[in-house]
Amino acid sequence: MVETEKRISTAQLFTVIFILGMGLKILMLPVLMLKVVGRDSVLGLAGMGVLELLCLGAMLAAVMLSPEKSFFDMTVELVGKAAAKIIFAFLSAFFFFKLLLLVGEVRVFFSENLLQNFSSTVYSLPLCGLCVVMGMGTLRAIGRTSQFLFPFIAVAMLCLFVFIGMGVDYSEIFPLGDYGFKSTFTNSFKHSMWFGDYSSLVAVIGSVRRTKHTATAGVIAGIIASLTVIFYMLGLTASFSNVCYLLRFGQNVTGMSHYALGDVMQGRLDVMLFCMWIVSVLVEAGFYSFTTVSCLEKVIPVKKELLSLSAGVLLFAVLLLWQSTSDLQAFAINYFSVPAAVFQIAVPVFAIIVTAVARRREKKKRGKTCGEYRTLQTETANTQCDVKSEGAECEAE
Amino acid sequence: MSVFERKREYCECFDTFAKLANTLRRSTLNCKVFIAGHSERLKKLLCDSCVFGIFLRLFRTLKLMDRVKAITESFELPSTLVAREFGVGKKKAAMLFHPDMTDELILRSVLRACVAANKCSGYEELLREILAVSEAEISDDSKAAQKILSGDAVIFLDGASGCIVVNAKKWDKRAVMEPPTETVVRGPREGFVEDFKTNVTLIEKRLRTRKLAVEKLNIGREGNTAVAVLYVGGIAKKELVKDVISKIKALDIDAISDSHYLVPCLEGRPNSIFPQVGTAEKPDVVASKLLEGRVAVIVDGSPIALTVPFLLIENFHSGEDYYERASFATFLRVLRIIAISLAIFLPGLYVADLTYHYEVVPLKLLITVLNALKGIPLPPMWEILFILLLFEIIREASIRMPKSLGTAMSIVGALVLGDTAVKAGIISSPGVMIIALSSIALYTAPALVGTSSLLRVLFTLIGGLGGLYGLILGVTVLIFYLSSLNSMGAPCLAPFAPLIKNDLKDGIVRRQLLSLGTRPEALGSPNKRRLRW
Repeated sequence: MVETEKRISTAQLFTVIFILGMGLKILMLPVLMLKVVGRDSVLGLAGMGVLELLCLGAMLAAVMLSPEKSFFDMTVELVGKAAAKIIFAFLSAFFFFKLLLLVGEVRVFFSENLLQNFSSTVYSLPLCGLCVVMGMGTLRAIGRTSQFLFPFIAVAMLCLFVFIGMGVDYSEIFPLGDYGFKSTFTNSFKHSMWFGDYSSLVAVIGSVRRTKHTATAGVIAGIIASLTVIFYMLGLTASFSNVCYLLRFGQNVTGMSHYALGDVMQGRLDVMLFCMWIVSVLVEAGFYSFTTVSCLEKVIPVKKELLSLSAGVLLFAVLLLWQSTSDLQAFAINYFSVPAAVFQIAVPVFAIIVTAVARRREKKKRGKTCGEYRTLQTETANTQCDVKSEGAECEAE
Repeated sequence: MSVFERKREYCECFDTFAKLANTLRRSTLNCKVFIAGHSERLKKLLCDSCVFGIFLRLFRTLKLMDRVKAITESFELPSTLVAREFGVGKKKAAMLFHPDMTDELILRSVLRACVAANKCSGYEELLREILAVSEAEISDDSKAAQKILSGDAVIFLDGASGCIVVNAKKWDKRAVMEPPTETVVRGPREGFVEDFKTNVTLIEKRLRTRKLAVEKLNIGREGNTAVAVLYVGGIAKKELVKDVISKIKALDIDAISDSHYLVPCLEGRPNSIFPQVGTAEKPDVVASKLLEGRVAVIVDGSPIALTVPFLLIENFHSGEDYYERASFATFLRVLRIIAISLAIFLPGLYVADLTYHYEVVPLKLLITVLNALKGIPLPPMWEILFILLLFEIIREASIRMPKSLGTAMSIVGALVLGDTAVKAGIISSPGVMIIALSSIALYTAPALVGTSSLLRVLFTLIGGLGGLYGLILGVTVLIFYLSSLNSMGAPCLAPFAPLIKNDLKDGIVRRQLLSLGTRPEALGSPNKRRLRW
C-alpha cells in the first residue's frame, strides 16, 4: 500500500496531466506534421487528440478504480510475478524511448533557438543530469515541482497565445482537406510516438489522493492541453503552411511569436517567455525518467539511485551515438509507429483490467472480512442475549 | 567478649562503614540497607542501640565531610570550589559553591538565615528558613555538582540525604534590547539576550497560558548547556514535539556554544544549502510562531531561538509585516521576492545574455552596454565572477575589522577600488551596477544571505557556461530539489507546492489579520482555529 503522505493531490495530478499532454507535442510535432500533411495537420492532430483523450479517460478510470496499491502489485496479483516483470520491462523500455525522443528534441530545440555553436554532447550532458536527478526523486516531488511551476508555465503560454493570436492571420489555415482524410490520418498515425503520453500515468496509479473531483480535473487538464496543442498547430499552419520548406526545428513556438511580435527594439521577449514555457518540457522529461526508473525498479531490484544513474548514462550514450535527432524522429515514424500505437492503446486497457480485477478482489476480500465480522457480531450478540435472558431467568427465580 | 575485643570489632566495623560510605557516596539509610543486606556481623552490631547511636553519629560526621570532599575532588582543580561549614541548630551543615559564579550577598544572607535557625530537623525546615531570603529547592546529591556549575550554592545537612540548592547565580548579562538583525519601525523592540532564563521569561510574558510548555534539557557532556523546548500544548502537533525533543536528546556532544549547534540535528538534510530551521531574535516573533503550532528551541548563551518547522516562504516574512497595513505588508513581501530573485539570477542572466543571447536585450540597451564593455579584457562571466569576489572580500573584511576602520574600508572598497577598476578598464560599469544591485537585494531576506550568495555564484557560472539553456535547467533542478525538501515533516514549498489554499492568506499576500482565522495547515496543528470574528 502506498502511504498517504507519499501520494500526490488532485491539483498536482492536474498539472502533471497538463504538462504531459502538451510538452512533447508542442515541441516538434506541429513542424513534423505540417511538413507531411500541410494544412490538414490540424485535422490529424485533432483526431489523434480525441484518441488520446480516450486513453486519458481510461487511465483516469484506472486511477479511480485502483484500491490504493501500486500498479505493479496489482499486476502481480493478476498475472504472476514473472509475467508482471516482463510487462514492466516492456513499459520501461517504451518510456525510455519516449524519454530519448523528448531529450533529443529538447537538445535540438535549444540548439536552434539559443546556443547555435554548442556541440550536441554539451547539450545532452546537463539534460541527462536532470533526468538522473528527477529519476531518483519521488512522485510527490515531481507533483510538487509541476504544481509550483504551473503558474509560470501558464503565464508564459498565455502571453504567447496573445502574441501569436494578435499577429497571425488565421484565414491561412484554409482550405482544409487538401490531402484527403485517409492520407491525413495515415500520416498522423505514423506520428504515434508523439502521442500516448498519458500511458506514463501508470506510475501514479495507487498514488493519488482521490477526491470526487479527481477524474473531472484530469479530464479538464487533458482537454486544455489538447486545445493548447491545437492552437499552436493552428498558429503554425497559418504562419507557415504556404512556405513549409522554410520550417526548421524549433520554429513552432519561438518563430511564430517572434514573427508575431516583430519588434527588435524591444528585444526577444518571446525567447524569455519560451524559456519559462520550456520548463514544462523539462518536467515532462523528468516524469518520463521517473516512470522509466520506477518500472525498471520492479524488474531489477537494486537501488533507485543506481538505476537512475544507469538510465542516465545509457541515455547519454545513445544520444552520443544517435547524434541526429532527425534520424531519431525518422526511426520513430518509420519503425515505431505501430508499436507505439499499440502501446498507447494497450497500456490504458491493461491498466483498467488490472485495476478492475484488483478492485473486485479487494471488495470480495473486504466482503468476506465484513461477513466474518458480521457473523462474529451476530454470534456475540446472540450469546449476549442468551446470557441476558439467562440472567433475567435467574433473577426471576 | 572482652571490652578490648568489642572495641576492636567496633573499629573494624567503623572502617568497613567508612569504606562503604566512601565508595557508595549514598545516604545513611542507603548505606544501612546495603550493609544490612551484606554483612551479618554488622547487622548484629547494629542491633545494639548504643553501638548503633555511636556508629550513626560517626558516620554522619564522616558523611557530611565525605560528601563535600567527594564533590570537591571530582573537580580537576579542587580549589575551584569553596566549602563553608556551619551549624544549624544542633546540626552541622556545609555549603559548597563556585565563588566566581555566585552572588556573595545572597550567600551571606542564606548563611545568616541558616545560622539563625534555632532548630532544624531536616531539609524541609531549613528550606523554609532559606526561602525567606532566596530561591531554593531540595534536590538529589547526584545533581549537586551540576547545580554548582550552574552558579547555584549547595547546602548539605548532616545526617540527611540530598541537598538544598540555593539560586545564587551571578554573572553579567546584556540588557534586553533591539536585535541588530531584526530592527523594526513599528512593533516591539525587545530582543533575546544570552541569558537563558531571561529569554524564556520574555516568551512566557507574552503567552500567559497554562498550555505553554517549557521542557528543559541539559545538552553536552562537558558544557551541560541548558536547552528549552517550548510549545503550546494542544496547538503544536504532539509527534512534532516528541520528534524535536528526541532529536536534541540524541545529540552526544562535548558542549554547545550556540543554538546553531542544534540546527543540523533538527534538519532532515543538514548538507543542504537551504535552511530548514528558522531563527528568530525577537520574543514576539517566537511567540506568534508558537501560536501557529511551531516548536521553539532556546539555548543558554545564545540570543537566537530556533523554530521548526520552517517553510521557505518564511524567509520573505518579517515580524513587522503583522504590524503594518495588509496591503503594504503584501507589497513588501512581493518586493522581497523580486529582490531575492534579482540577487540570485540577475548576474547569471546578464552573463548569459551578453555571452550568447544578445537578441534578448532591447536594442538601445544593448548598444549602451556594448559601449561600456568596449576594451574590457575579461569575458562577461569572468568579469562578473571577479566583481563578486571583490564584493565578498569587502563584505567579509568589513564584518571582521574594527568598527572604527569599517567606514574607511567601505570608502576604499566601494569608491576607490570599484571606481578605479572601472576607470582602468578592468571591469565595466554595467557589471559593477549588476553586482551592486544584486548585493543590496541580497539583504532583503537576511536569513537567506548565505544561500543566495552561493546560488548567485552558481547561476553566474551556469549562465556563463550554458546560457539561458543552463539557467532553465538549473532553475528546474532547484525547484525539484526544493520540492523534495521537508522541515520536520512540513513541505518547504508550502503553501504553493503542495497548494494549501487556506495558508495562501499568509503566503506572499498577507490578508488583513482578522481574516487569518486558522493556523497554517502545513504545520498540521490539531487545533486549527485561532480567531473568530
